[in-house]
Formats: sequence, structure tokens, C-alpha cells
Amino acid sequence: MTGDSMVLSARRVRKQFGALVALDDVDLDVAEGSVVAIIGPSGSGKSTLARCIHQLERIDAGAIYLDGELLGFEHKSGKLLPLRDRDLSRQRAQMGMVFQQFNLFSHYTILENLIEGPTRVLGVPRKEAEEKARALLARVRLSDKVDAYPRHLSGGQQQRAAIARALANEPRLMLFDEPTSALDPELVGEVLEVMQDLAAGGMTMVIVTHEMSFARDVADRIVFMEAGRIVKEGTPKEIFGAPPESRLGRFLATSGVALTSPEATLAD
Amino acid sequence: MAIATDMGGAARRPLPADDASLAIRRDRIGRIVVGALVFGLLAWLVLAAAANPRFEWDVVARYFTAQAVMNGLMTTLYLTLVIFVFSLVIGTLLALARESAYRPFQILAWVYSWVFRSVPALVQLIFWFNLAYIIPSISLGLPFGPTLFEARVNDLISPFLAAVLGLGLGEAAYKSEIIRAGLMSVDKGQREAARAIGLTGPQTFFRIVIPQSMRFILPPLGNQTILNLKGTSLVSVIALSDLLHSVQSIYNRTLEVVPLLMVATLWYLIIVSIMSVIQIGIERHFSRGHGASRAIKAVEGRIEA
Ligand SMILES: Nc1ncnc2c1ncn2[C@@H]1O[C@H](COP(=O)(O)OP(=O)(O)OP(=O)(O)O)[C@@H](O)[C@H]1O
Ligand SMILES: [Mg+2]
Repeated sequence: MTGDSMVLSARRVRKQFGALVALDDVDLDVAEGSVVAIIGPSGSGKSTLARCIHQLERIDAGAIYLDGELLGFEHKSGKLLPLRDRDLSRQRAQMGMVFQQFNLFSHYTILENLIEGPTRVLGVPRKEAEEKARALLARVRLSDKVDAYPRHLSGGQQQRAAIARALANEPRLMLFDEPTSALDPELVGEVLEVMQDLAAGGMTMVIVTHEMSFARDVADRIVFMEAGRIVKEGTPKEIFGAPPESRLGRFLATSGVALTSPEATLAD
Repeated sequence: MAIATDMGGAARRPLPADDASLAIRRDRIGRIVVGALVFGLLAWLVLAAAANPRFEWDVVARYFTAQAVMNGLMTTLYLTLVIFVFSLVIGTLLALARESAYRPFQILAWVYSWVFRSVPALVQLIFWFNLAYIIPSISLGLPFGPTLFEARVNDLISPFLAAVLGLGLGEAAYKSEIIRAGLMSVDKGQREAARAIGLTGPQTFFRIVIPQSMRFILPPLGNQTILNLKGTSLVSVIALSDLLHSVQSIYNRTLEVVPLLMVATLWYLIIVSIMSVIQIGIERHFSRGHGASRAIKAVEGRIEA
């Protein structure tokens, strides 16, 4: 029931902002090593879902489990209570989050950005953390930017560094909230490439994205959200085969990419 | 290849008629001339002051490091430091209260600022000094029970404490505004990213938010501290022997008013200069990652070398 076989499972999750219901009875399962893409129109609750999973927002009802461990709450002397700040932080550290705006710490060099989590949260010795950080930066091809400040990197480089920072805690799950939406078109590719490498390496990932062709090529499952609910969920084939007159079909048509790109016709 | 041949040929090819280095050389000469004029004017002012017998420089020299003046200087410095720390702590708490989601805290902080910014510092100073007149004694005890602690306010409120309260409480209200502006200047995404990698609330505040807001807090904070230093001269009205009060006591006796005021002026000038230098150093430290970084400066250094 707690979804032991799953890295992540969300059960009947509800989130409200005042009267607005941002998430309405959402169920989501993410299996080990799988990639789940979340798509849907603006305001449908995609970011809210990612932020609730990552415990950046507290849910109002339902439950979320990471490796079977309840997130955000604990049982204490028979009562269910919200977790204390320290324990919440420990849980957050088990998940990596990549934001649309990169959010690298502007007063730290790239290397310092990467070691902050491991040294401050996980208690890894500085030398060891630095070694690992350098290896990660090599993996996202930023070895020459180790001592640079974020301001002096291009958007694509910043986002790759942000991915490396999220990986530094060795998370069980990586969450991406529209990681390429703030990038110039010519920089999107280098970030998607890094994400594709991660997926190929077996990382469990949840990706909120408007990049339909990327979702189609990399995701194992695609989740379509609308008005705070998961309306449809399936393999890329099932999702992109939606009848054009359905709500999903109409959303895909307005998103363009998928139905008109040459690879789509090749794959079918 | 192409670049290499270009650079090799640069020496032999003729300079364009509009060569930029001509303008830059002229610009440099202009700056040297203006610099010399400003320096000359300053030198003239100093010499004129030195030559003016009304300043009685020999009297200035005699009292400049006199024991009474040194004691006054120490009191002024110590008072400034205590007010700085005191108002910084309370100002930070007020800023956090204003930014908290809890309504009563917000209101409390707002009322505090309203009261302490409205009443002139001199009035507050005299008020605290005369607190014993309003509340002769305070006692701590259980209702209808024994008294645990009792003291006469006159013994509790020394002139020094009255000075700290009178000048520090109002200053805290100003500092809270400065700190609040600094905290608001930090992008919300920085806080989120900090929480996302697992930093706790206090870690996020001290390692990410505070260092980044320093860039915005330090310039007005430095300004404010210099104002406080000079503001301590108000305490002479409650007979606390600060720098100003100690030279006043001397010239009340010797009637050498102008040279003794010069003694105080020079000391204020020296301290403010030192504080400004310290401020530049601290600001440079916290500008990390913004403006020209050390990395870029290092590169520039290498190019020049
Ligand atoms: N902190 C908040 N306070 C109030 N309302 C919020 C907050 N965050 C999100 N919302 C609202 O919740 C709903 C879902 O927002 P969310 O950001 O999750 O949408 P989204 O699917 O990510 O949209 P987009 O594609 O534009 O990023 C929206 O109506 C939004 O206005
Ligand atoms: Mg969003």
C-alpha cells in the first residue's frame, strides 16, 4: 500500500492555495530507473506537483512516499504530525531539484555550489566532496568552469551546473521543472543531452516539460495534467496516439512539435 | 592560422587615421591636469588653515593626546560599538518579525518602528536618563507572593545605559528597514534552491540569504554607523564624558574653544576615515560573484603582465 516497489508514490495528493485547488486527488507512481514526463497546459499544477513531491510545499491531504518512507509527516505517539525542519531537510536532500531559473548560488563558485549540499547536509569531508564535484562537473562537461561564478556562465552552462549540483547529494530521484524553458533555443540541446545521459545511466527522473519531442524520446511514461488533475497517463505511444478531438489531442496540437516533427512519423 | 598571420602583420600595417589610442592618450592627459588642480586646491586649504593663528595649533597639539581627551575618545568608540551591536541585533529581529507570516509579529515590529522613529534621539536620551522619575523602582515577583527581585531604577539606568537605549532603540528601527530591504533583494529562487539541496532554515539564512543581502545592506549600514558615531556627541547633555564632552570640560576651564573643538574634529575625522576604509574592505569581500570577480581580475593581471 505504501508503494514499496516504487521509488516514488503519491496517493490522493491535494494542494490548495486559498480557495484554488492546485492539485486534486493526484496519484503518481515512479518505478526505479524510470523517466516520467509531466505535460499539460499552463496553470494545470505541474510545478505544484513537483514542488509538493520535493517538500518545498506542504500538501493538504493525501500522502507521498519516497522508497516507502512517508514524506513531510511522521507518526509520533499515535498521532500524525508535520516533520520538523531538520528532518524535512534530510528528506529533501534525498531528491534533486532542477529549476527553470537555474538558481545557482550567485556568491559561490560552481565548485562551491556543488559541495554545499554534501558538506553541510550530508557531512561529507570537504576534500572528498570536492573530488566528487569535479567528477560530476566533468560529466556535464564543465571542467573548465570549476572556479567560475554563475554570472559568467551561459544559460545552458548554468543549467548543466545546476543539474550537477542536484546530483551532488546522490539523490534517489531527480525532479526537473521546465529545465529548458528559460534558455535560448540554441542552448536547449546541450541541457537535454545531459538529461538524456542521466536517463540512460538509470537515474529515476520526473520531468515537467514543454519539450514534446524530448518527452516522447526519453520518457517511459507521460502524465497529462489539467486543472490540478491527472487526466491521462501512458506510454509515449499511447499519449501521442490520442484522438485529435480529445482534450489531450487538442493540447498536443497546440504544442505543435510532436505531431508535425519528422521523427514522429518515422517512429510510428 | 588566420589569426596568427593577422597579428604578425599588425606592426607593419599603417594605423587608421581615426586610431582610438589618440583619443585615449588625450583623455589620460586631461585626467592628470584635473587631478593636479584638485590636489593643489586641497593643499592650499590645508596650508591656509595651518597658517591661521586663530586655530592655535600649538594648543591643539598640546591637548590632542591628553588623558581626558583619550578617555573621551574611548567612551565615544565604545558607545558606538555597543550601539552598533545592540541595534543590529534588535534591527535584525524586527526585520524578521516584519517579514514573518505571523500577523502579531508584523504589527509589533511596525508599531516599534513607528514609535522610535517618531521621537527625536535627544528626547529619547533625556527620557531614558530620567526614567527613575517616572518609574522609581521595578520589582519582579509572583502575584500576591514574595518579591524575587527589586531595584531602584536610578541604580539600574546609568548614563551609559541611558545613552545606549536612547540612541540604540531608535537606531534599531532604522537598521531593521535597511536589513529588510537587503533580505528582499535576495532572489526567492536562491532560498528555494538552498532548501532543495537540504539546507535547514537557519543554514539557508546564514549561508545564502545573509551573504547575498550584504551587498545591499553594507553601504547604508556604513553610512548609518558613521551617523551613530557623530550622534554619540548628543550624550554630553546627560553628562557622559564622550569625546565632545571631554573637550568641552577643558575649554570651559581654559576658554580655548576653537583649538579644542579642532581636537575633537580631527579625532572624528580620523575615526570616520578608518571606518570608511574598513567598509570598503568588507564590501569588497561580500561582492563575491558580482562585478569583476577575482577570477577575471586574475586574468586581467596575467594579460597586463
Ligand atoms: N504559491 C502560490 N500561491 C497561490 N497560487 C499558486 C501558487 N503556486 C501556484 N499557484 C496556482 O496554482 C495553479 C497551478 O500552478 P502551477 O505553477 O503548478 O502550474 P503549472 O502547470 O506549472 O503552469 P506553467 O506551465 O505555467 O508553469 C495555478 O493556478 C497557480 O496560479
Ligand atoms: Mg510551472
